[in-house]
Amino acid sequence: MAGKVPTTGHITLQGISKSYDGLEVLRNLNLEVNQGEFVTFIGPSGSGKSTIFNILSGLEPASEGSVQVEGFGLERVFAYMPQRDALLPWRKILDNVILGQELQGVSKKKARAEALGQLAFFGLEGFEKNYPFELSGGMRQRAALLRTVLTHRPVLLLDEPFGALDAITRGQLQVWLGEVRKRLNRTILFITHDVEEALLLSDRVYVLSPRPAQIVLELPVALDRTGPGEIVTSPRFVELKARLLAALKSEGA
Amino acid sequence: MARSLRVARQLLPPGILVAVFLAFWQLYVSLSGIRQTILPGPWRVVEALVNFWDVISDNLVNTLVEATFGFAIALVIGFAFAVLLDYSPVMRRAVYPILVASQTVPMVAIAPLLIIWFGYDIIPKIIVVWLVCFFPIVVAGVDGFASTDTETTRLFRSLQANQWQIFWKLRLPSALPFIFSGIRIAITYAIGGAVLGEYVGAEKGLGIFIQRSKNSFRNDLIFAAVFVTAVASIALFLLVTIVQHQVMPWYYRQQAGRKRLKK
Ligand SMILES: Nc1ncnc2c1ncn2[C@@H]1O[C@H](COP(=O)(O)OP(=O)(O)OP(=O)(O)O)[C@@H](O)[C@H]1O
Ligand SMILES: [Mg+2]
Repeated sequence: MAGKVPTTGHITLQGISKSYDGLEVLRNLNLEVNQGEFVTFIGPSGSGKSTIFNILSGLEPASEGSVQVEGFGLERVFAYMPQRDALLPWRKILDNVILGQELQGVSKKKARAEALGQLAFFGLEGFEKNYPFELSGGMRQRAALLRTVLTHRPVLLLDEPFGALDAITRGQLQVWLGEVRKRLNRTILFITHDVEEALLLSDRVYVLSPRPAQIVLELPVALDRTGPGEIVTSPRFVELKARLLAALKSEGA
Repeated sequence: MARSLRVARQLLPPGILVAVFLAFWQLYVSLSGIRQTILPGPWRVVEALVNFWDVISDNLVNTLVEATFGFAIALVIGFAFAVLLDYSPVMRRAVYPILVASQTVPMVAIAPLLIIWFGYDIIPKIIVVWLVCFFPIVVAGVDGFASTDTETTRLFRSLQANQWQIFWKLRLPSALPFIFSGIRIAITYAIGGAVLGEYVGAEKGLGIFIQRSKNSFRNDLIFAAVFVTAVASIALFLLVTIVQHQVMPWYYRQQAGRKRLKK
Protein backbone atom coordinates (compact mmCIF):
# COMPACT_ATOMS: atom_id res chain seq x y z
CA MET A 1 0.00 0.00 0.00
CA ALA A 2 2.76 2.40 0.91
CA GLY A 3 4.25 1.94 -2.51
CA LYS A 4 1.33 3.64 -4.22
CA VAL A 5 1.42 6.71 -2.04
CA PRO A 6 3.85 9.37 -3.19
CA THR A 7 6.11 10.63 -0.45
CA THR A 8 6.16 14.33 0.19
CA GLY A 9 9.12 16.29 1.15
CA HIS A 10 9.22 19.02 3.66
CA ILE A 11 6.09 21.03 4.45
CA THR A 12 6.60 24.70 5.18
CA LEU A 13 4.06 27.19 6.55
CA GLN A 14 5.32 30.70 6.11
CA GLY A 15 3.76 33.68 7.86
CA ILE A 16 0.27 32.17 7.88
CA SER A 17 -2.41 34.49 9.25
CA LYS A 18 -6.15 34.07 9.14
CA SER A 19 -9.06 36.30 10.07
CA TYR A 20 -12.80 35.70 9.71
CA ASP A 21 -14.41 39.11 9.14
CA GLY A 22 -12.35 40.91 11.72
CA LEU A 23 -11.92 37.92 14.05
CA GLU A 24 -8.21 37.22 14.08
CA VAL A 25 -7.68 33.48 14.46
CA LEU A 26 -4.10 32.78 13.36
CA ARG A 27 -1.25 35.25 13.62
CA ASN A 28 1.94 34.80 11.64
CA LEU A 29 2.52 31.08 12.01
CA ASN A 30 5.87 29.77 10.81
CA LEU A 31 6.50 26.09 11.06
CA GLU A 32 7.94 23.13 9.27
CA VAL A 33 7.17 19.44 9.13
CA ASN A 34 9.59 16.82 7.88
CA GLN A 35 8.83 13.90 5.67
CA GLY A 36 7.39 11.05 7.74
CA GLU A 37 7.18 13.09 10.91
CA PHE A 38 4.31 12.94 13.44
CA VAL A 39 3.62 16.51 14.56
CA THR A 40 0.94 17.47 17.06
CA PHE A 41 -0.80 20.77 17.64
CA ILE A 42 -2.12 21.31 21.11
CA GLY A 43 -3.90 24.37 22.38
CA PRO A 44 -7.02 25.67 24.06
CA SER A 45 -10.44 25.24 22.53
CA GLY A 46 -11.22 27.82 19.87
CA SER A 47 -7.59 28.79 19.46
CA GLY A 48 -7.54 27.99 15.75
CA LYS A 49 -6.17 24.45 15.50
CA SER A 50 -8.84 23.23 13.11
CA THR A 51 -8.37 26.42 11.11
CA ILE A 52 -4.77 25.40 10.38
CA PHE A 53 -6.04 22.12 8.95
CA ASN A 54 -8.71 23.90 6.96
CA ILE A 55 -6.07 26.03 5.32
CA LEU A 56 -3.83 23.05 4.59
CA SER A 57 -6.64 21.02 3.07
CA GLY A 58 -7.72 23.96 0.92
CA LEU A 59 -11.10 24.45 2.59
CA GLU A 60 -10.23 27.99 3.60
CA PRO A 61 -7.75 30.38 2.06
CA ALA A 62 -5.16 31.89 4.35
CA SER A 63 -5.45 35.65 4.74
CA GLU A 64 -1.70 35.98 4.50
CA GLY A 65 1.29 33.72 4.08
CA SER A 66 1.91 30.58 2.11
CA VAL A 67 2.01 26.81 2.41
CA GLN A 68 4.65 24.94 0.49
CA VAL A 69 5.10 21.25 0.03
CA GLU A 70 8.39 20.23 -1.45
CA GLY A 71 7.90 18.65 -4.85
CA PHE A 72 4.11 19.03 -4.87
CA GLY A 73 1.21 21.22 -5.75
CA LEU A 74 -1.22 21.54 -2.87
CA GLU A 75 -4.05 19.49 -4.33
CA ARG A 76 -4.31 15.90 -3.24
CA VAL A 77 -1.52 16.14 -0.69
CA PHE A 78 -3.54 16.41 2.50
CA ALA A 79 -6.04 13.81 3.66
CA TYR A 80 -8.33 15.46 6.17
CA MET A 81 -10.13 13.53 8.88
CA PRO A 82 -12.80 15.74 10.45
CA GLN A 83 -13.32 16.13 14.16
CA ARG A 84 -16.44 13.95 14.01
CA ASP A 85 -16.20 10.75 11.99
CA ALA A 86 -18.41 12.12 9.17
CA LEU A 87 -19.20 8.61 7.97
CA LEU A 88 -22.16 8.50 5.59
CA PRO A 89 -25.06 6.82 7.42
CA TRP A 90 -26.51 5.42 4.19
CA ARG A 91 -23.35 3.59 3.19
CA LYS A 92 -22.04 0.35 4.57
CA ILE A 93 -18.57 0.52 6.07
CA LEU A 94 -16.85 -0.86 2.99
CA ASP A 95 -18.40 1.81 0.79
CA ASN A 96 -17.67 4.50 3.33
CA VAL A 97 -13.96 3.84 3.44
CA ILE A 98 -13.50 3.96 -0.34
CA LEU A 99 -15.00 7.43 -0.64
CA GLY A 100 -11.72 9.18 -1.42
CA GLN A 101 -10.86 6.83 -4.26
CA GLU A 102 -14.39 6.85 -5.58
CA LEU A 103 -14.50 10.65 -5.78
CA GLN A 104 -11.31 10.54 -7.79
CA GLY A 105 -12.95 8.28 -10.35
CA VAL A 106 -11.36 4.97 -9.34
CA SER A 107 -13.81 2.14 -9.99
CA LYS A 108 -15.71 1.01 -6.92
CA LYS A 109 -14.73 -2.57 -7.56
CA LYS A 110 -11.04 -1.83 -7.49
CA ALA A 111 -11.32 0.46 -4.47
CA ARG A 112 -13.35 -2.13 -2.56
CA ALA A 113 -10.86 -4.86 -3.29
CA GLU A 114 -8.09 -2.78 -1.84
CA ALA A 115 -10.14 -1.74 1.18
CA LEU A 116 -11.03 -5.35 1.98
CA GLY A 117 -7.34 -6.09 2.32
CA GLN A 118 -6.99 -3.38 4.95
CA LEU A 119 -10.06 -4.15 7.08
CA ALA A 120 -8.37 -6.65 9.37
CA PHE A 121 -5.59 -4.32 10.34
CA PHE A 122 -8.12 -1.63 11.14
CA GLY A 123 -10.13 -4.05 13.29
CA LEU A 124 -13.11 -3.87 10.98
CA GLU A 125 -13.08 -7.35 9.55
CA GLY A 126 -16.57 -8.79 9.41
CA PHE A 127 -18.12 -5.35 9.65
CA GLU A 128 -17.76 -4.31 6.03
CA LYS A 129 -21.48 -4.87 5.44
CA ASN A 130 -22.60 -3.00 8.54
CA TYR A 131 -23.82 0.56 8.64
CA PRO A 132 -21.85 3.09 10.70
CA PHE A 133 -24.49 3.34 13.43
CA GLU A 134 -24.08 -0.36 14.07
CA LEU A 135 -20.46 0.15 15.12
CA SER A 136 -18.97 1.33 18.40
CA GLY A 137 -17.44 4.79 18.64
CA GLY A 138 -13.93 3.38 18.51
CA MET A 139 -14.70 1.33 15.43
CA ARG A 140 -16.23 4.32 13.70
CA GLN A 141 -13.08 6.32 14.30
CA ARG A 142 -11.01 3.48 12.89
CA ALA A 143 -13.26 3.38 9.85
CA ALA A 144 -12.88 7.13 9.43
CA LEU A 145 -9.12 6.74 9.68
CA LEU A 146 -9.12 3.95 7.12
CA ARG A 147 -11.11 6.21 4.82
CA THR A 148 -8.45 8.87 5.32
CA VAL A 149 -5.60 6.44 4.68
CA LEU A 150 -7.23 5.04 1.54
CA THR A 151 -7.18 8.45 -0.10
CA HIS A 152 -3.54 7.63 -0.90
CA ARG A 153 -2.49 11.09 0.04
CA PRO A 154 0.90 11.49 1.66
CA VAL A 155 -0.04 13.71 4.61
CA LEU A 156 -2.78 12.83 7.08
CA LEU A 157 -4.53 15.61 8.98
CA LEU A 158 -6.16 14.09 12.06
CA ASP A 159 -8.34 16.54 13.97
CA GLU A 160 -8.91 15.22 17.50
CA PRO A 161 -9.71 11.74 16.24
CA PHE A 162 -10.17 10.34 19.73
CA GLY A 163 -11.75 13.39 21.36
CA ALA A 164 -15.19 11.89 21.78
CA LEU A 165 -14.15 8.46 23.04
CA ASP A 166 -14.09 7.06 26.56
CA ALA A 167 -10.71 6.80 28.28
CA ILE A 168 -10.25 3.06 27.77
CA THR A 169 -11.09 3.04 24.07
CA ARG A 170 -8.98 6.11 23.66
CA GLY A 171 -5.95 4.44 25.24
CA GLN A 172 -6.38 1.43 22.98
CA LEU A 173 -6.63 3.54 19.89
CA GLN A 174 -3.58 5.56 20.82
CA VAL A 175 -1.49 2.40 20.96
CA TRP A 176 -3.05 1.22 17.76
CA LEU A 177 -2.37 4.50 15.96
CA GLY A 178 1.29 4.06 16.85
CA GLU A 179 1.17 0.74 15.01
CA VAL A 180 -0.65 2.22 12.05
CA ARG A 181 1.96 4.86 11.78
CA LYS A 182 4.84 2.42 11.64
CA ARG A 183 3.11 0.54 8.90
CA LEU A 184 2.06 3.53 6.83
CA ASN A 185 5.16 5.65 6.79
CA ARG A 186 3.27 8.84 6.11
CA THR A 187 3.53 12.30 7.48
CA ILE A 188 0.88 12.87 10.16
CA LEU A 189 -0.36 16.15 11.58
CA PHE A 190 -2.46 15.66 14.68
CA ILE A 191 -4.64 17.85 16.85
CA THR A 192 -5.48 17.10 20.46
CA HIS A 193 -6.42 18.68 23.76
CA ASP A 194 -4.68 15.92 25.63
CA VAL A 195 -1.09 16.44 26.74
CA GLU A 196 -0.36 12.76 27.35
CA GLU A 197 -1.81 11.78 24.01
CA ALA A 198 0.43 14.31 22.32
CA LEU A 199 3.53 12.92 24.04
CA LEU A 200 2.63 9.29 23.47
CA LEU A 201 2.27 9.70 19.75
CA SER A 202 4.35 12.60 18.47
CA ASP A 203 7.85 13.31 17.30
CA ARG A 204 7.27 16.98 17.88
CA VAL A 205 4.60 19.12 19.54
CA TYR A 206 3.58 22.71 18.85
CA VAL A 207 1.75 24.45 21.67
CA LEU A 208 -0.59 27.18 20.46
CA SER A 209 -1.77 30.23 22.38
CA PRO A 210 -5.44 31.20 22.72
CA ARG A 211 -6.84 33.14 19.77
CA PRO A 212 -5.13 34.60 17.81
CA ALA A 213 -3.02 31.47 17.77
CA GLN A 214 0.72 31.82 17.85
CA ILE A 215 3.32 29.19 18.58
CA VAL A 216 4.16 29.30 22.28
CA LEU A 217 6.44 26.29 22.37
CA GLU A 218 7.98 23.86 19.96
CA LEU A 219 8.86 20.66 21.79
CA PRO A 220 10.81 17.78 20.26
CA VAL A 221 9.64 14.64 22.04
CA ALA A 222 12.06 11.85 21.09
CA LEU A 223 10.79 9.34 23.63
CA ASP A 224 12.02 5.78 23.46
CA ARG A 225 8.72 3.96 22.92
CA THR A 226 10.24 0.54 22.46
CA GLY A 227 11.71 0.20 25.93
CA PRO A 228 10.15 -1.85 28.73
CA GLY A 229 7.87 -0.44 31.38
CA GLU A 230 5.19 2.21 31.41
CA ILE A 231 6.29 5.13 29.35
CA VAL A 232 4.00 7.59 31.09
CA THR A 233 5.83 7.18 34.40
CA SER A 234 9.32 7.55 32.94
CA PRO A 235 11.16 10.64 34.18
CA ARG A 236 11.60 11.98 30.65
CA PHE A 237 7.85 11.74 29.99
CA VAL A 238 7.01 13.45 33.25
CA GLU A 239 9.40 16.26 32.50
CA LEU A 240 8.05 16.82 29.00
CA LYS A 241 4.52 16.77 30.31
CA ALA A 242 5.35 19.42 32.89
CA ARG A 243 6.83 21.62 30.16
CA LEU A 244 3.76 21.26 27.96
CA LEU A 245 1.39 22.02 30.82
CA ALA A 246 3.46 25.02 31.83
CA ALA A 247 3.38 26.35 28.26
CA LEU A 248 -0.38 25.89 28.08
CA LYS A 249 -0.88 27.53 31.45
CA SER A 250 1.39 30.51 30.76
CA GLU A 251 -1.01 31.53 28.02
CA GLY A 252 -4.01 31.38 30.31
CA ALA A 253 -5.35 28.32 28.55
CA MET B 1 -43.40 -15.60 12.51
CA ALA B 2 -41.73 -12.59 14.09
CA ARG B 3 -42.65 -10.60 11.02
CA SER B 4 -46.34 -11.48 11.11
CA LEU B 5 -46.34 -10.71 14.81
CA ARG B 6 -44.95 -7.28 14.11
CA VAL B 7 -47.55 -6.68 11.42
CA ALA B 8 -50.27 -7.76 13.85
CA ARG B 9 -48.95 -5.31 16.45
CA GLN B 10 -49.16 -2.56 13.82
CA LEU B 11 -52.64 -3.37 12.60
CA LEU B 12 -54.39 -4.44 15.77
CA PRO B 13 -54.73 -1.09 17.59
CA PRO B 14 -56.22 0.87 14.65
CA GLY B 15 -58.32 -2.20 13.75
CA ILE B 16 -59.85 -2.35 17.21
CA LEU B 17 -60.47 1.39 17.22
CA VAL B 18 -62.26 1.24 13.87
CA ALA B 19 -64.32 -1.77 15.00
CA VAL B 20 -65.43 0.01 18.17
CA PHE B 21 -66.33 3.11 16.18
CA LEU B 22 -68.38 1.09 13.68
CA ALA B 23 -70.16 -0.74 16.49
CA PHE B 24 -71.22 2.53 18.12
CA TRP B 25 -72.29 3.95 14.79
CA GLN B 26 -74.43 0.91 14.01
CA LEU B 27 -75.84 0.93 17.52
CA TYR B 28 -76.74 4.60 17.30
CA VAL B 29 -78.45 4.20 13.93
CA SER B 30 -80.40 1.16 15.12
CA LEU B 31 -81.49 2.56 18.50
CA SER B 32 -82.13 6.23 17.66
CA GLY B 33 -84.48 5.41 14.80
CA ILE B 34 -82.83 8.00 12.57
CA ARG B 35 -83.80 7.56 8.95
CA GLN B 36 -81.15 5.65 7.02
CA THR B 37 -81.43 8.10 4.11
CA ILE B 38 -80.05 10.76 6.48
CA LEU B 39 -77.46 8.64 8.25
CA PRO B 40 -77.04 5.13 6.92
CA GLY B 41 -75.55 2.56 9.26
CA PRO B 42 -72.26 0.87 8.38
CA TRP B 43 -74.08 -2.27 7.33
CA ARG B 44 -76.16 -0.30 4.86
CA VAL B 45 -72.99 1.27 3.50
CA VAL B 46 -71.43 -2.14 2.93
CA GLU B 47 -74.54 -3.23 1.09
CA ALA B 48 -74.38 -0.15 -1.10
CA LEU B 49 -70.70 -0.77 -1.77
CA VAL B 50 -71.35 -4.34 -2.86
CA ASN B 51 -74.39 -3.51 -4.97
CA PHE B 52 -72.72 -0.60 -6.72
CA TRP B 53 -69.22 -2.03 -6.86
CA ASP B 54 -69.18 -2.05 -10.68
CA VAL B 55 -69.95 1.66 -10.89
CA ILE B 56 -67.76 2.62 -7.97
CA SER B 57 -64.72 0.68 -9.12
CA ASP B 58 -65.10 2.12 -12.60
CA ASN B 59 -65.07 5.64 -11.14
CA LEU B 60 -62.25 4.73 -8.78
CA VAL B 61 -59.98 3.84 -11.70
CA ASN B 62 -60.58 7.27 -13.14
CA THR B 63 -59.75 8.96 -9.86
CA LEU B 64 -56.65 6.86 -9.36
CA VAL B 65 -55.35 7.74 -12.82
CA GLU B 66 -55.78 11.46 -12.14
CA ALA B 67 -54.20 11.18 -8.71
CA THR B 68 -51.23 9.22 -10.03
CA PHE B 69 -50.54 11.55 -12.93
CA GLY B 70 -50.95 14.68 -10.81
CA PHE B 71 -48.72 13.25 -8.11
CA ALA B 72 -46.04 12.12 -10.57
CA ILE B 73 -45.90 15.55 -12.17
CA ALA B 74 -45.77 17.20 -8.74
CA LEU B 75 -42.93 14.89 -7.76
CA VAL B 76 -40.83 15.64 -10.82
CA ILE B 77 -41.43 19.39 -10.89
CA GLY B 78 -41.35 19.68 -7.09
CA PHE B 79 -38.03 17.91 -6.94
CA ALA B 80 -36.59 20.10 -9.69
CA PHE B 81 -37.84 23.15 -7.82
CA ALA B 82 -36.30 21.99 -4.56
CA VAL B 83 -32.94 21.54 -6.27
CA LEU B 84 -33.21 24.96 -7.84
CA LEU B 85 -34.12 26.64 -4.54
CA ASP B 86 -31.33 24.74 -2.83
CA TYR B 87 -28.72 26.04 -5.24
CA SER B 88 -29.91 29.61 -5.47
CA PRO B 89 -30.46 31.52 -2.23
CA VAL B 90 -31.89 34.40 -4.26
CA MET B 91 -34.49 32.13 -5.81
CA ARG B 92 -35.23 30.69 -2.40
CA ARG B 93 -35.90 34.11 -0.92
CA ALA B 94 -38.00 35.07 -3.93
CA VAL B 95 -40.06 31.92 -4.35
CA TYR B 96 -40.46 30.46 -0.86
CA PRO B 97 -42.83 33.15 0.53
CA ILE B 98 -44.96 32.98 -2.61
CA LEU B 99 -45.12 29.24 -2.24
CA VAL B 100 -46.28 29.51 1.36
CA ALA B 101 -48.83 32.20 0.49
CA SER B 102 -50.16 30.05 -2.33
CA GLN B 103 -51.17 27.46 0.24
CA THR B 104 -53.72 29.79 1.76
CA VAL B 105 -55.70 29.92 -1.49
CA PRO B 106 -58.59 27.47 -1.08
CA MET B 107 -58.65 24.77 -3.72
CA VAL B 108 -62.48 24.98 -3.98
CA ALA B 109 -61.99 28.45 -5.42
CA ILE B 110 -59.39 27.36 -7.96
CA ALA B 111 -61.00 24.14 -9.14
CA PRO B 112 -64.04 25.72 -10.89
CA LEU B 113 -61.77 28.18 -12.68
CA LEU B 114 -59.65 25.31 -13.95
CA ILE B 115 -62.78 23.72 -15.35
CA ILE B 116 -63.69 26.93 -17.15
CA TRP B 117 -60.20 27.15 -18.61
CA PHE B 118 -59.47 23.51 -19.41
CA GLY B 119 -62.87 21.84 -19.76
CA TYR B 120 -64.40 18.80 -18.12
CA ASP B 121 -61.80 16.22 -18.99
CA ILE B 122 -58.84 14.92 -17.03
CA ILE B 123 -56.52 17.94 -17.33
CA PRO B 124 -58.02 20.24 -14.65
CA LYS B 125 -58.10 17.34 -12.15
CA ILE B 126 -54.46 16.58 -12.75
CA ILE B 127 -53.70 20.24 -12.18
CA VAL B 128 -55.60 20.25 -8.87
CA VAL B 129 -53.72 17.17 -7.69
CA TRP B 130 -50.45 18.68 -8.86
CA LEU B 131 -51.19 21.88 -6.91
CA VAL B 132 -51.95 20.10 -3.63
CA CYS B 133 -48.97 17.73 -3.91
CA PHE B 134 -46.40 20.23 -5.08
CA PHE B 135 -45.97 22.20 -1.87
CA PRO B 136 -45.15 19.38 0.59
CA ILE B 137 -42.64 17.94 -1.86
CA VAL B 138 -40.83 21.22 -2.48
CA VAL B 139 -40.69 22.11 1.21
CA ALA B 140 -39.46 18.64 2.17
CA GLY B 141 -36.83 18.76 -0.56
CA VAL B 142 -35.53 22.18 0.42
CA ASP B 143 -35.41 21.28 4.12
CA GLY B 144 -33.83 17.93 3.29
CA PHE B 145 -31.02 19.40 1.21
CA ALA B 146 -30.40 21.99 3.90
CA SER B 147 -30.05 19.24 6.50
CA THR B 148 -26.82 18.04 4.90
CA ASP B 149 -24.07 17.84 7.49
CA THR B 150 -21.58 20.70 7.07
CA GLU B 151 -18.62 18.73 8.37
CA THR B 152 -19.28 15.97 5.83
CA THR B 153 -19.58 18.58 3.11
CA ARG B 154 -16.16 19.86 4.08
CA LEU B 155 -14.81 16.33 3.91
CA PHE B 156 -16.14 16.02 0.36
CA ARG B 157 -14.62 19.33 -0.62
CA SER B 158 -11.27 18.38 0.89
CA LEU B 159 -11.40 15.33 -1.36
CA GLN B 160 -11.92 17.62 -4.37
CA ALA B 161 -15.45 16.36 -5.00
CA ASN B 162 -17.21 18.31 -7.75
CA GLN B 163 -20.69 19.82 -7.43
CA TRP B 164 -22.22 16.87 -9.22
CA GLN B 165 -20.66 14.36 -6.83
CA ILE B 166 -21.63 16.43 -3.82
CA PHE B 167 -25.23 16.42 -5.02
CA TRP B 168 -25.57 12.74 -5.89
CA LYS B 169 -23.40 11.21 -3.22
CA LEU B 170 -24.12 13.58 -0.34
CA ARG B 171 -26.97 16.08 -0.58
CA LEU B 172 -29.53 13.80 -2.18
CA PRO B 173 -29.04 10.86 0.21
CA SER B 174 -29.08 13.30 3.14
CA ALA B 175 -32.39 14.71 1.91
CA LEU B 176 -34.08 11.37 1.23
CA PRO B 177 -35.75 10.88 4.63
CA PHE B 178 -37.25 14.37 4.34
CA ILE B 179 -38.28 13.87 0.74
CA PHE B 180 -40.07 10.65 1.59
CA SER B 181 -41.93 12.36 4.42
CA GLY B 182 -43.05 14.97 1.91
CA ILE B 183 -44.05 12.29 -0.55
CA ARG B 184 -46.13 10.49 2.05
CA ILE B 185 -48.00 13.68 2.88
CA ALA B 186 -48.45 14.47 -0.80
CA ILE B 187 -49.74 11.03 -1.71
CA THR B 188 -52.43 11.22 0.96
CA TYR B 189 -53.52 14.56 -0.48
CA ALA B 190 -53.49 13.23 -4.04
CA ILE B 191 -56.73 11.21 -3.98
CA GLY B 192 -58.56 13.90 -2.03
CA GLY B 193 -57.39 16.46 -4.58
CA ALA B 194 -58.62 14.37 -7.48
CA VAL B 195 -62.01 13.83 -5.81
CA LEU B 196 -62.33 17.56 -5.21
CA GLY B 197 -61.45 18.32 -8.83
CA GLU B 198 -64.10 15.88 -10.02
CA TYR B 199 -66.70 17.12 -7.60
CA VAL B 200 -66.64 20.53 -9.23
CA GLY B 201 -67.33 19.08 -12.62
CA ALA B 202 -66.47 15.87 -14.39
CA GLU B 203 -67.84 13.07 -16.47
CA LYS B 204 -66.38 10.30 -14.40
CA GLY B 205 -64.64 9.73 -11.09
CA LEU B 206 -65.48 9.29 -7.41
CA GLY B 207 -65.93 13.03 -6.97
CA ILE B 208 -68.73 13.32 -9.48
CA PHE B 209 -70.15 10.02 -8.22
CA ILE B 210 -70.38 11.57 -4.75
CA GLN B 211 -72.05 14.64 -6.14
CA ARG B 212 -74.62 12.62 -8.08
CA SER B 213 -75.30 10.42 -5.04
CA LYS B 214 -75.92 13.55 -3.01
CA ASN B 215 -78.31 14.90 -5.60
CA SER B 216 -80.30 11.67 -5.53
CA PHE B 217 -80.29 11.49 -1.71
CA ARG B 218 -78.22 8.33 -1.66
CA ASN B 219 -76.16 9.06 1.44
CA ASP B 220 -75.26 5.39 1.68
CA LEU B 221 -73.45 5.71 -1.67
CA ILE B 222 -71.63 8.83 -0.48
CA PHE B 223 -70.34 6.89 2.49
CA ALA B 224 -69.36 3.98 0.26
CA ALA B 225 -67.39 6.32 -2.00
CA VAL B 226 -65.72 7.98 0.96
CA PHE B 227 -64.76 4.59 2.30
CA VAL B 228 -63.21 3.63 -1.04
CA THR B 229 -61.33 6.94 -1.16
CA ALA B 230 -59.87 6.32 2.27
CA VAL B 231 -58.82 2.78 1.44
CA ALA B 232 -57.19 3.93 -1.79
CA SER B 233 -55.25 6.66 0.07
CA ILE B 234 -54.04 4.19 2.66
CA ALA B 235 -52.99 1.77 -0.07
CA LEU B 236 -50.95 4.45 -1.84
CA PHE B 237 -49.40 5.46 1.47
CA LEU B 238 -48.34 1.87 2.13
CA LEU B 239 -46.96 1.63 -1.39
CA VAL B 240 -44.75 4.65 -0.75
CA THR B 241 -43.60 3.14 2.53
CA ILE B 242 -42.63 -0.07 0.75
CA VAL B 243 -40.66 1.87 -1.85
CA GLN B 244 -38.98 3.80 0.95
CA HIS B 245 -37.91 0.55 2.60
CA GLN B 246 -36.31 -0.50 -0.65
CA VAL B 247 -34.58 2.82 -1.27
CA MET B 248 -33.43 3.54 2.30
CA PRO B 249 -32.80 0.26 4.10
CA TRP B 250 -30.23 1.94 6.34
CA TYR B 251 -32.84 4.35 7.64
CA TYR B 252 -35.13 1.63 8.92
CA ARG B 253 -32.30 -0.35 10.43
CA GLN B 254 -31.22 2.76 12.27
CA GLN B 255 -34.76 3.49 13.43
CA ALA B 256 -35.20 -0.09 14.62
CA GLY B 257 -31.92 0.19 16.54
CA ARG B 258 -33.08 3.39 18.24
CA LYS B 259 -36.37 1.84 19.25
CA ARG B 260 -34.57 -1.11 20.76
CA LEU B 261 -32.39 1.26 22.76
CA LYS B 262 -35.38 3.10 24.17
CA LYS B 263 -36.82 -0.07 25.65
N1 LIG C 1 -15.97 29.64 8.99
C1 LIG C 1 -15.78 30.41 10.08
N2 LIG C 1 -16.31 31.66 10.12
C2 LIG C 1 -16.12 32.45 11.20
N3 LIG C 1 -15.43 32.09 12.29
C3 LIG C 1 -14.88 30.86 12.32
C4 LIG C 1 -15.02 29.96 11.23
N4 LIG C 1 -14.37 28.81 11.53
C5 LIG C 1 -13.85 29.00 12.76
N5 LIG C 1 -14.14 30.23 13.23
C6 LIG C 1 -13.72 30.78 14.52
O1 LIG C 1 -12.32 30.65 14.59
C7 LIG C 1 -11.91 30.30 15.90
C8 LIG C 1 -11.02 29.09 15.84
O2 LIG C 1 -11.77 27.98 15.41
P1 LIG C 1 -11.13 26.53 15.30
O3 LIG C 1 -12.23 25.63 14.91
O4 LIG C 1 -9.94 26.59 14.43
O5 LIG C 1 -10.69 26.26 16.80
P2 LIG C 1 -10.09 24.93 17.42
O6 LIG C 1 -8.80 25.30 18.03
O7 LIG C 1 -10.10 23.85 16.45
O8 LIG C 1 -11.13 24.65 18.60
P3 LIG C 1 -11.62 23.24 19.20
O9 LIG C 1 -10.49 22.74 20.04
O10 LIG C 1 -12.79 23.61 20.03
O11 LIG C 1 -11.94 22.36 18.06
C9 LIG C 1 -13.16 30.09 16.70
O12 LIG C 1 -13.38 31.22 17.50
C10 LIG C 1 -14.25 29.96 15.67
O13 LIG C 1 -15.44 30.51 16.15
MG1 LIG D 1 -11.21 22.12 16.24
